[in-house]
Amino acid sequence: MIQYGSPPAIDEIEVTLFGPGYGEAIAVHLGEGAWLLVDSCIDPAAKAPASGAYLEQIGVDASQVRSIVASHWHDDHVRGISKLAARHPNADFVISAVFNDRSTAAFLAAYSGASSAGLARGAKELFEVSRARNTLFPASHRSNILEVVLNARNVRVTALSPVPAAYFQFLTHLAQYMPRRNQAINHAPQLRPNFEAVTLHIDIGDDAVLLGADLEEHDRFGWSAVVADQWSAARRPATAYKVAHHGSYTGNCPQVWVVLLKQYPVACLTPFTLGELRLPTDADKGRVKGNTPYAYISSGASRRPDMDSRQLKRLGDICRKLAQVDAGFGAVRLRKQLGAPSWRVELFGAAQAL
Amino acid sequence: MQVWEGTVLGVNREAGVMQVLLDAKIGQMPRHTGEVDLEWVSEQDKDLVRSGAVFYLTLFKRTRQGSIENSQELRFRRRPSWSAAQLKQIEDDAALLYSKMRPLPTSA
Repeated sequence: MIQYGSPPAIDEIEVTLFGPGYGEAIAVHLGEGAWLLVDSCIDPAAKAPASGAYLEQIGVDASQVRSIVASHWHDDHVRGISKLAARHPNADFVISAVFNDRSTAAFLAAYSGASSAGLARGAKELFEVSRARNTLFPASHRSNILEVVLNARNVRVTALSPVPAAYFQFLTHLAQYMPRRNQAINHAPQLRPNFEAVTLHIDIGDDAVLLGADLEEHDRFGWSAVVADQWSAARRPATAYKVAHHGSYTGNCPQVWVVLLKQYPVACLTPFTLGELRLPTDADKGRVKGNTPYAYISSGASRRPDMDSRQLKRLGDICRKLAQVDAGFGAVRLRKQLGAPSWRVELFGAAQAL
Repeated sequence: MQVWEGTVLGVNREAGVMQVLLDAKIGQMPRHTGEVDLEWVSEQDKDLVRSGAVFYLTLFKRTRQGSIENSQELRFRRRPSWSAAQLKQIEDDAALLYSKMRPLPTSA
């Protein structure tokens, strides 16, 4: 079990990024004990949602979480989020506005597990939250997720995406996957590329944080549309960045580094390992490091198979390129005293410099 | 004996392979991914090979003509179709979910 030490001081801003190799969660201390949680993954040692286990260990009361944001519905971003929501019943629960529609709500219901056990991916987690909650808050471009005065400063959490065009693109894309009578029940589709993700800008008075979720690049639906918007471009440039979509080429928009970020921000990201898709690639790492020398990844552990040699040899007769999905859990913690010139970076578990 | 529940992550028919996610059904082993040749899939299951499909891979030993040899079975799970009752339930669940949405204020 990782030992995280003490909670942040009341005038200390914190962004902690958790990731096991396939999964991502973020805990943000906004000041004066107020927290924002974004997405969820499982801490393998605690066997519980990583951000919830973290807050419990450092002594943060469950009531101190103001909002929980599910940036999108993919399995690697919502594992355990229904438990996290249950642990923080007073926190607002925010989801992408693409689900503020009867047909997209039907998609979540269809793949909730009731009719399609084992096929749900992340839809089941979000649907369970929706059943347990009386209210859900759909967020899209310009949504005010949280606005509060902390440490005598106005702290404001706003959504930069999804942009309106992405909303309609998602509806069109989804239509082909809606269940129909006498059609075989199949696994929930992956629905890529991702233009429905909620990306967040956190203004903390004299500085800002950008959380890029898994939003991908597109001139009308993705990052370019966000950056081209005057309101987005007027946000305070951030000095800390959760790099979008695991640092991938498809999530990269050079203008983000120019318009939404200050020069050489602290950047952190989680890996994504599933099948042939392994992010970030070496080229992705090089590109991120070309933008900032202060780049970190939550898990840099080896993906070598973990089983005894006889089992590995026998399975290897049928299955090649065997790799572990969750090889090593880690966390990147950024802390910054209000008014301090730079972030202090701490690495836990399998986290390392990029 | 090894028993794995597999999920197809992707299929490359030109290369004759499928990318799979494997969960051990016996013992406490972490999840793995890998690549399986489509030639291991039986003819009767070939039409089921698609992204998201679920299969079971069993690796075992058997005695044949007095000698022990490795054997394996890879079988895909066949899915039922959506029923009218399920579609009605989905419609009701969706209406309830939709009724809980409360849009956030937006910035000018």
